[in-house]
Amino acid sequence: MNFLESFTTAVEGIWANKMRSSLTMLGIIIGITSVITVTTLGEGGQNAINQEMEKFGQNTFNVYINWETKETMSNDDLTVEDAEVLSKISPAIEYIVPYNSATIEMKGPKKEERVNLSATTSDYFAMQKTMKVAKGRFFNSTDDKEQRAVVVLEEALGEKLFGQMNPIGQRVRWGNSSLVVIGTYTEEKFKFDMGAQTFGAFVPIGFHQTLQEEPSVQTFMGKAIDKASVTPAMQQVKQYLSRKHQKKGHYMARSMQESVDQFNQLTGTLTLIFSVIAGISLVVGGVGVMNIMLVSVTERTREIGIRKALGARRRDILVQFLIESVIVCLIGGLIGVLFGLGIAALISHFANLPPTLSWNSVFIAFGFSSAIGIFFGLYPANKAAKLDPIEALRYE
Amino acid sequence: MLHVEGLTKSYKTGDSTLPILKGVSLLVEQGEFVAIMGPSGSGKSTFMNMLGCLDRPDTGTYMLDGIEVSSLKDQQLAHVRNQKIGFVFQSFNLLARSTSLHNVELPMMYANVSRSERRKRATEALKRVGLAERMHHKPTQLSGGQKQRVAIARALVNRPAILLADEPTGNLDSRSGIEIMAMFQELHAQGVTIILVTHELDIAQHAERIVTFKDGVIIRDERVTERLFATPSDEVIVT
Repeated sequence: MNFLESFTTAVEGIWANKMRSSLTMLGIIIGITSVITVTTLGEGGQNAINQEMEKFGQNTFNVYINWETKETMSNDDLTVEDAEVLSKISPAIEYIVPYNSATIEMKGPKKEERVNLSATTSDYFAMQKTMKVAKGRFFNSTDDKEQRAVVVLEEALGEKLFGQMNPIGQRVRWGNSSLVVIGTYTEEKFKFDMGAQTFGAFVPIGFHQTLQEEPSVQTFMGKAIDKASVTPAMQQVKQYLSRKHQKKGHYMARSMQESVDQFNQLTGTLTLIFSVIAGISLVVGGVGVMNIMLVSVTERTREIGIRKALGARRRDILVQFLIESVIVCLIGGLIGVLFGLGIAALISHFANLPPTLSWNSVFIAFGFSSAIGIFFGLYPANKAAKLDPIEALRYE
Repeated sequence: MLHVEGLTKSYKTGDSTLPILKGVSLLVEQGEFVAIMGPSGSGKSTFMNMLGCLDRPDTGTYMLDGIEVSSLKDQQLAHVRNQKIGFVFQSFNLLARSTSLHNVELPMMYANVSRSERRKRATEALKRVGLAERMHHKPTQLSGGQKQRVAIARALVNRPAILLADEPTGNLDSRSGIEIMAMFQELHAQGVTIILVTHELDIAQHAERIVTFKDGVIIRDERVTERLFATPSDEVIVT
């Protein structure tokens, strides 16, 4: 009997037992649905976060002090001047700025607020892509040089501190200092950053240093001219700083790309773990298929006997039952893929993730369902094929 | 046509072996109509299974239509069953889910006959047994006699060398039984070789020759002297 005939016979067999076939499929449907849901969500989440990270920090890197070396720490390990020199001498670097941040209390005429205060240079505003001036302006290189006591507030912070009043030109207090507000800004927040509820404000780092008894810089933020220049740029920065300060292994640099890669590795592992857990239900479904196929073989013993008496070879019977189980699994797989994609789309919609179609997981799901059909169908099919025709014909 | 020589077969039951056939020899010529009789346990069913290539003898030879089949492998036996043997069973053994036409097509599916050829030959075979009207009926919609006629059509459709009928009238009322015997006699008249197993003498007497089994050997092999001829009733086709 050729394949097409076996296929038709198998479909008839499934159709003749609609209820049982669909119950068998259910196990596969649930298994494939969970695998597809997990992998699609995993991939979707990963894509979304990667896109966000790209937007916020393409080609950027941070430079900081390694706390674990034997070199002694000093306040001038990183200086504003170092950043200035580096931005001039390294062709791989587009921008590099010194950066300090601290949480402070800032007082306006209406209210006092907790503020996440950043101190940096005017280049920072050119380097980043997520902040936009709302009113007034960012500070510029003159503000840097003259160490002016000016501040740029997040727009919402301005509203808190000043209410309906226009904050531009007004003053805010921070400890003993009085700062002139020269601008407000809005910021596109990182989508998945749940914690950042504190408002932000920026002052020129030159001014910030005048307030410190021993001026220090926490980190440098840099941006390479292109993707390929990130690593050389980081190398040059480390080399320059080590030579200038005569300290070995004291400086570290980390690119955004490295963070993204690390994150991807983590989510990849998580997705894999969840897929394996979901895969267990698929195996359970497969056992269900085997169970039902065994019942089916017993129930159709006589049919098998008749077919054998009429000239069916072992192979014909084997193929017939194998195709049956594969078809059941494939149909279950198809429905499972549709359900899985549907559920993933629904969750993505509510979790505000971009919709994703993971072709990989669809192909894997189909591969898996046919593999399960063959693996769990083989034993019953072989049992059917090996039946003795005389016994089978006598079976009531 | 069919030549069996020194056939033996025994089955293991626990520690002891139970001999069923103790050296059976038989020659059946082309076109013969032979009835095999014997009480239950006489070995006639086992002998039928051997003739039908459903089982292999322990010793002895079996030539069927020029082929030595006693030493063939499973796969080759399946081929011989498909090509050389037509089975008619007591309990019809039709596929319950399939129509008459599909049931008759089945042996040709295993012979890789093309779809259109299959349809043509199955239709002809069903016409031959008077069931052209019932082609698309399923077994549950047919009477016992009609089911057996579908089975006969199925048995003949691959043009086998012999037709093996195992108690073909056993599950039928006497009138349907006579109809089936009439059909066998008609097929015999057309030149089909028929071997019929039965335990009823009046059924066996429709054949030309009666072979009687007892305790695993043939005790009698004789021509039928008072042969019965079944006349198909007129209302056979319309039921």
